[in-house]
Amino acid sequence: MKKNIGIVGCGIISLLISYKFFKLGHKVTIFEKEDLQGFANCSTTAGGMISPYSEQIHSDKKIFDLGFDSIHRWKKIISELEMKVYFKTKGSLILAEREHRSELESICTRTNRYTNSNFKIITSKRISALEPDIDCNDLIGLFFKEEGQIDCKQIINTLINFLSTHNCSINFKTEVKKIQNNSIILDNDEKIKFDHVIECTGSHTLNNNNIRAVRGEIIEVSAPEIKISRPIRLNHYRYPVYIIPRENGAYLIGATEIESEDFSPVSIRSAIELLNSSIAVSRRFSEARIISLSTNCRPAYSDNLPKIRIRKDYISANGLFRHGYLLSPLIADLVVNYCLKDKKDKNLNYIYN
Amino acid sequence: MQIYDINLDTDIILGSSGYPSPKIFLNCIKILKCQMVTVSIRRLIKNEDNNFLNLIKKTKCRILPNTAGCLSAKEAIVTAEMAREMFETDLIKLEVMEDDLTLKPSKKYTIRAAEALIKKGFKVLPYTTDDINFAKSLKSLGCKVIMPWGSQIGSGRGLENPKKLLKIREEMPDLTLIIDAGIGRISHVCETFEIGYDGILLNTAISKAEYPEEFARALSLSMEAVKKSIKSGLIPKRNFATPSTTTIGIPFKK
Repeated sequence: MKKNIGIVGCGIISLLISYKFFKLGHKVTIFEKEDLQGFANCSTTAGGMISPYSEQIHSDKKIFDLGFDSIHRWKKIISELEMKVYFKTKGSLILAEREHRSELESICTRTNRYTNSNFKIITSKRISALEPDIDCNDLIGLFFKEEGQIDCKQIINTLINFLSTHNCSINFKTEVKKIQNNSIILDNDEKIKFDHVIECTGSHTLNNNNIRAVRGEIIEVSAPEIKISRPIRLNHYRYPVYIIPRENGAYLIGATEIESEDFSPVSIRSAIELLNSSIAVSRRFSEARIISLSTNCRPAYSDNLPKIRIRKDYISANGLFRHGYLLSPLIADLVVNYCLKDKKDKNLNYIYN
Repeated sequence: MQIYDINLDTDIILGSSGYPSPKIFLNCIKILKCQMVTVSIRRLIKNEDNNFLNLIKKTKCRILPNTAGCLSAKEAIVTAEMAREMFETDLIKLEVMEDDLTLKPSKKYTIRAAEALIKKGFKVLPYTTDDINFAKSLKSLGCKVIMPWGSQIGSGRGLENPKKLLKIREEMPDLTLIIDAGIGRISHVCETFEIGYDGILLNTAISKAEYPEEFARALSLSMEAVKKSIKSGLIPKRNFATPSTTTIGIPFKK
């Protein structure tokens, strides 16, 4: 039976849920309060790293359990879409200064234990062979083959285009006031009834006090003369930074993590720290050109794990925190399965709430 | 432990940054029965509706705002005033650093800021080095709590100069003395109480442990153990061997 699905929010999780419903032949309507022009949310200002292994630097083991096959899920989505999206699966690197070897060793041991793997610290020679443009004389690292990156803005735009040209209606500049009994009540009190309403509004959540916002800042630079092809994390205990390659010599340098619902522009301190650390990876970044500095707030629950909340009025998929691109393909599948088959994944009880 | 007019049931203050998740932080507070938490107001809080802060408030812990990241007396004073307004408390953990790299407390500016803040009615908990003169100056300004470092912030190297720290304890028996930085292991915690300090303030050792809650449990046990041992009446340290059985007329002596 064809179902009528209403989705609130237009980030990566809502678009993937919409896409999955569409693929299964259901009707989807999206409501987004922002305009398509200048449309920005935490999904568009993200790094787009798909890195279940290297996330173990600072995440719960469950993040690995949820995200370990994310690369394959994305591969499938991208190949089905038949549209050009910058998506690379050449692996990623964690780098550290040689004098911080003990810290890298502890990350290595922990990652091996959590992921049942056998990673070993690699030398500067090996780093240089993988990424010749990194200044790696004093660096050691870890190399995770099964990781990658996706261009967030591209995939968001691609999904918006795909859905709008395939009979899904995406209503921009449409504020949802309330969700009641699987009906959406708009700002003008218009009420639209659906079979299921799915709320994916991130930190702008309508009625979820348990979500908090965590500020992140990211800088886009252009450095076509630098050829780095894999996401790099510099594991410095005071100035951690990641550098994620994009198309045409662009790089994203991020990201801070500040416990505050603060959407104001990037601070000088954050910019200095992030840019300074990028130069430690390659001195040639000093001649890169700054394209943009962006801020956004990522939604998180108190345990920093995502949740599918099943309520009488709606279902919410939220709290993907810093793992939006890593976890959204799985969470989207779980939401769709629940709506269509009333089925929860028994192994992932902690996701449902 | 006595923090000005407040009596805490546990001798520990927790820092609030760098935990894997707020939930784990809250669990650690519970495990340690911690009643005071310090938060940095320069980076963390920009608006009133801060959910992270609201989570801490729900624990009923007292909040001790700090001036972490300040490099001048003026900056620290302004930050303290903001904190007083935001948290409605006169307590301030005063941190004025010499530089951003070593995070060493600046003697000159900490004293200058403490003097100004005490005049403005603040109850100042200054972060200091193990320099006795630094501590003495703050005491004479009216500080009732002094928090010397064990070693550098986040270094986990423990009490690098126990003799200097002991000297501070001996010189100011009436003040509340808390080791503020450098604690990384349970042995450091024991040493702190064994040299007669009243409490510990720690963050990194717990928040960056692989299993923070496990460390918190160990910490709670160790604090109980070390305090019991002190109450038991420890033997003095001696410079000569003292056999526990008499040596006269040992029958099987070879």
